[in-house]
Amino acid sequence: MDAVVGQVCIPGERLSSVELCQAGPGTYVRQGYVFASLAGLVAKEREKSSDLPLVSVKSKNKAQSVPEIGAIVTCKITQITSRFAKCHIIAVNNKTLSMPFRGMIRKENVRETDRDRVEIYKCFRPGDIALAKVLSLGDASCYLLTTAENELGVVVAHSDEGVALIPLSHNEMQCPKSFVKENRKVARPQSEHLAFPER
Amino acid sequence: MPTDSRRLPVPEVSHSPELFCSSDPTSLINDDSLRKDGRNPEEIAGIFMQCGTVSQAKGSSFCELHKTKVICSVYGPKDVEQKEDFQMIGKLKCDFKFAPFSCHKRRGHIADLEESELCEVLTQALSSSVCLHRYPKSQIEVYVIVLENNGSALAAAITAASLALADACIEQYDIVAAASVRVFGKENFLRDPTFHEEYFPHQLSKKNDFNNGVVTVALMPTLNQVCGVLSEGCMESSVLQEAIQTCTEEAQNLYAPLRKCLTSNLGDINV
Repeated sequence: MDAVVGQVCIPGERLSSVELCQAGPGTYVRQGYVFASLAGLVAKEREKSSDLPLVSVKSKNKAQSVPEIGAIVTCKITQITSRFAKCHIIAVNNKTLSMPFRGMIRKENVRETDRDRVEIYKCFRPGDIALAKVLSLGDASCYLLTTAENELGVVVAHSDEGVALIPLSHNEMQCPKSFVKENRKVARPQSEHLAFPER
Repeated sequence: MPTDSRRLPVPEVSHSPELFCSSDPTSLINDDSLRKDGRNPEEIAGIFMQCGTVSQAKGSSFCELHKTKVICSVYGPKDVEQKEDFQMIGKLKCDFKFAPFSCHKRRGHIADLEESELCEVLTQALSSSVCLHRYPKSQIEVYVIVLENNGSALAAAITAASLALADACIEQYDIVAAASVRVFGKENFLRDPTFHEEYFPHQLSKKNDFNNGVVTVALMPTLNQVCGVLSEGCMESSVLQEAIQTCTEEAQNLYAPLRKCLTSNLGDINV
């Protein structure tokens, strides 16, 4: 028996057997069958790597993901000390969370080169929005995050006057109003988001 | 608070007028073998369910079982509070409360012992169905408020809580349906008891037959697994077994309306 794509299902409904499909998000496996764990529509995707299609349940946009190891998260820096920067995780993989989770970026996880001689004050400031990757679940109080990649780091920052800073290089941002340069660990913009003026 | 001296003083203590009514000695089943509200002993109550009633909550539901009205809101998964220990599985926090105006006798604002016990049973029933291992270091909060209590409040609460969890897109192994039965005497089972048919310890029973009580069962219909049982009163083990069997059958019958409620709530989603 196999579930029809687009069929409505509720938690506990049997969708398919393990021999016909793989279990994707929104499903679970029990006794050789794939069951739904969310209320929504059944979707099937054919993955290139494996022979079996992946069956998943797509629910309303409300399905909230919890930060997993390796996920790219958007976080807002809340406090900084000489050893770490604490932040609130506001989105996981571009999906906004209804309630923020707490995260921490330690001094040695800020950048890849010269890890010990990092000054947090020159990388993050409270109020900055940064992209980070989840390193581990950390302890009871916060997730452990890292920005030790070129594409990770501060994305949006404001100067003391409240004006948005413009990124200059991987460690500098400039205020367009006062032309003061400030140090941040800046994220490299991805090539698809760069627009060059026509010559 | 200083009172106005020109006002007539009100009595400091007030009593409900029901205290002064003569107690009704009629039995639960009359001569036509009908109950007080006109139902047969095997007849179940009318049920109404709706999802998405509370807009601020992540997921919510409203359940009406004859006159009993229960509303449930679900929040989460959210970060655990600072003082809690690290856990790889999520935490389920339930809160069960009768609204002060819901019962015949006014209830306080703080949860009393009865509400704590019903909250425990609710937590037990839901913990078996929610996939907590998929929400590490998080907590899911379930708040149930009984707006009007006309019996079977726990059964309605468990059903409403499961619907609200599904509405909040929290992964569950199966939805939970609950039903309750009033036992008095060996062969008398009243399904979905109303408030007057619910068991009170001070009630007298027939001399030879001491079977008297109320059984509530929470069941996961597709998996056919019982995830919560609450039994109050005094029953022989065979009578208790039969009561649990009756409740299980009734909970199974609830699957179709539950499914209809959830699927109609989905509306149109773009895949």
